[in-house]
Amino acid sequence: MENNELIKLWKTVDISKEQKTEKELMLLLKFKARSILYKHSAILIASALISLVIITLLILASFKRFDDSLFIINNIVLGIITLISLIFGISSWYRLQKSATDKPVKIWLKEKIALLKNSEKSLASKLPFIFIPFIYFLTVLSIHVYFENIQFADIFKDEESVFGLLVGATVGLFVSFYIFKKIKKQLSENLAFLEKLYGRL
Amino acid sequence: MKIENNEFLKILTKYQGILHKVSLIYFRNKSDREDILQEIIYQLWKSFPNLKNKDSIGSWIYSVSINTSLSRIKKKSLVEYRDTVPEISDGLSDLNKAVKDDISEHLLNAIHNLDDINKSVILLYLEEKSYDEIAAILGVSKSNVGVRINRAKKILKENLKYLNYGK
Repeated sequence: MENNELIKLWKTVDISKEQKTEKELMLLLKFKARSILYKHSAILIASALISLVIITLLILASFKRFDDSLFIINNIVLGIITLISLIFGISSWYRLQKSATDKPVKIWLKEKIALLKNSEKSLASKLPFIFIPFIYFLTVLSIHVYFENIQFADIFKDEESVFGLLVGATVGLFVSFYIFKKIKKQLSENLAFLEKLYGRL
Repeated sequence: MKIENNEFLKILTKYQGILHKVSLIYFRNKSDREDILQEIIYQLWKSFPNLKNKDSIGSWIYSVSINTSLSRIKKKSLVEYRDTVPEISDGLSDLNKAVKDDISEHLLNAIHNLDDINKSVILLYLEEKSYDEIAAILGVSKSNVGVRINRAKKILKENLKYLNYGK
C-alpha cells in the first residue's frame, strides 16, 4: 500500500457528525468548568469541615478534662497535626490539578513523571511508617481516656485499657497500612505507565 | 461562572476537528469521546491566556488534546501494546456510526491497535503536518520524527494487512 493511499483513506473518515456549533461548544465548556468548580469546592469544604469538627471535638474534650494536663497536651498535638495535614493535603491536591497540558507531549510526560516520582519518594520514605502509627496511637489514647473517664496517666495502669488499646491499635494500623499500600501501588502503576510512554518517544 | 471569551470560542469552533480526530483515535466508545471532548475543551480554555504564539494554534490544540487523552487513558488499557499483530476489535458499534464506510472503519481499527504514542505519530502524519510541526507537538527532534513516522506507518500497514485491507 502506498503512503498516499493511507492519507487518502484517512480523509474518508467522517467526523462531520461530531461537529458542534459555537453555542454547543460554549455549553460543553460551561458544564465542565462548573462541574470542576463544584468538585474543587466540595473537596475543599469537606476537608475543612472534617478538620473543623475534629479540632472542635478536641477543644471541647480538653475543656471537659481541664484538670488532666497530659490529655490536653495530647489533644493539642492532634489538633496541630490535623491542621498541618489539611494545609498539606489541599496544597498537594492543587499542585496536581494545576499541571498544565499545553506543552509538547515529551516535556509534559517528563514533568508528570517528575511530579509522581516526588510523591512516590515521600511515600517510600520511612516517615509514613512512623507518622501513621504515631497519629493513630494518639487518637486512640484521646478517645479511650475521654470515654473511659480516666486520667491520662492512669491508662497504662489498667490491664483492660491496655488490652483494648492493643487490640484497637493493631486493627487500626492494619487498615491504615492496607490503604497506604493500595495508594502506593496505584501510584507506582501510573508512574510505570507514564515512563513506558516517555520511553517510546 | 462567566465565559465570555469570544476569541477562544471562535478558535475552538474553527479547530474543533482536531479534538474530534484525537478523541476518535484514542477512544472507541462514543460516551468516552464525549467526556474527553469536554475535558480537552476545558484544558484548552484554561491554558488559552498563556498562548503566546497565535501562529501555532493548531500545534497548541494538538498538544493539549494528546496530553489530555493520554492522561485520561486508564492504565489497564494502556499496557496492551500491540506492535505487530493486532486484534480485531469488537463492540465498535458506537464508532461505526462516526465513520463513513468499511474502508475508514478498517483504518480506524488498525490505528486503534497501535500503541498510544504511535497513534499520535500516525495521526499527525495522516493530517499531513510538517516534520517541524510534529517535532514541536511531540517535543522530539526533527530527525527523530522521520524515524518514528516510518516505524508507525510500517506497523499500521501490517495491521491493515491483518485486517484484510491493502496488499
